[in-house]
Amino acid sequence: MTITVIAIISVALAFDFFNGFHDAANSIATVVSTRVLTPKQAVAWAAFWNFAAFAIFGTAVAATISKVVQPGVLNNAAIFAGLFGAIVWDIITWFLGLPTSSSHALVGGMAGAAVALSGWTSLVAAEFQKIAVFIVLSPLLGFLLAFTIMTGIYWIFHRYRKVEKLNRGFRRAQLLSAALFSLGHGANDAQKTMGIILALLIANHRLPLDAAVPLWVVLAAHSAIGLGTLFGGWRIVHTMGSKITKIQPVGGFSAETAAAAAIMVATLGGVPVSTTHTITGAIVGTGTTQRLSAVRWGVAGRVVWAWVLTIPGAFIVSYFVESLLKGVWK
Amino acid sequence: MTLGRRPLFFLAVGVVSLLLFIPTPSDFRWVNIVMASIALFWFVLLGIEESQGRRLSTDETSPPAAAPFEREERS
Repeated sequence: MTITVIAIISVALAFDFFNGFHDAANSIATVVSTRVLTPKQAVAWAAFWNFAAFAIFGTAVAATISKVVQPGVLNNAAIFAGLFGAIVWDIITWFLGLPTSSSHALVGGMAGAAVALSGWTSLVAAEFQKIAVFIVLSPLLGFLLAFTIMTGIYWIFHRYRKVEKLNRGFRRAQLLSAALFSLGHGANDAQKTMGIILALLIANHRLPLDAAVPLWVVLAAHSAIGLGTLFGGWRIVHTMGSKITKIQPVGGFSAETAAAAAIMVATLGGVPVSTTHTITGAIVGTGTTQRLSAVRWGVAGRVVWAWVLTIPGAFIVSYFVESLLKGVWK
Repeated sequence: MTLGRRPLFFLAVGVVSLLLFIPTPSDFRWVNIVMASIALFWFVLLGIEESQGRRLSTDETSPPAAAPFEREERS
């Protein structure tokens, strides 16, 4: 394996690490804001389940990511440019405290690099269509499931008067829901990096076109995202856990369970979805069980704008990086 | 009869799910159908609830309703 390939794999794993770092907030915001776990305990719990996901889910999402661009189009420089654009976008949104999607930054970044290299025809429309549809569907699915779970719980327990006991029960249940969500996060997001590494190995003729993801790539990707989660992004915890709506243990449980279900359905179907979008939709769903005005729509709107800008933002950065690189990096 | 914002919000979610039915790959269209069904279920239920006047306050100007799991204030 050449030094260039090793260097780009390192950048891909760094992106995965940043993904865990950036999205750690999604996994732990509710358990921290409802004081079920301390921040340190919460990140350790989430990181463990991020890693454990490798034993449960396949690599269908990785296959989708590796097919976003026509086979044979990407070269080392373009893959590097795509990753660079995604990382730059992630750093910008992390600095601004915006819970945007690392996944969509990656898709936008790879697309920008591919277009700069070979034009618009290098993109596979069907794969983009699948991703684009789920950009809208995944938060709405999280929203609907969270509202339904939360309302179901209210219906079941509305005559129960031992509020303290109930809250204690849901605090414990949140450990399970946070684990489920972290499992889904690890499964879907780590596979995006696997897809990039797979595309890189195919581009360098290290693997045949129809190759499956090698086990070492699976383990490396899950380790990187788990470590990233362990180092956590605290700025976003604040936005997710308290600014969108006030969360109680039952709300945290409902939101995480709903988001985990939505992400797992997508993962098993091979659809790369944004864990950030899904959990935000679910948090809004739990807030809506009270009143629509329980949701701080100003903050939710700011988040939506960040989503809308993610793919174009990462696309533009990668497009320019690839345009610069293709003259010097053959 | 005017509907409140919550049922209309669910109606909008249901409509969006159905509008995305055609661009959704055929393997995943069941997701759109499930989502539209859930959204329309809540639209009807919340609509009935509001029209029967069971909810006392849904607008922003009213004081917030007590959350069922809110810890009780101790004096």
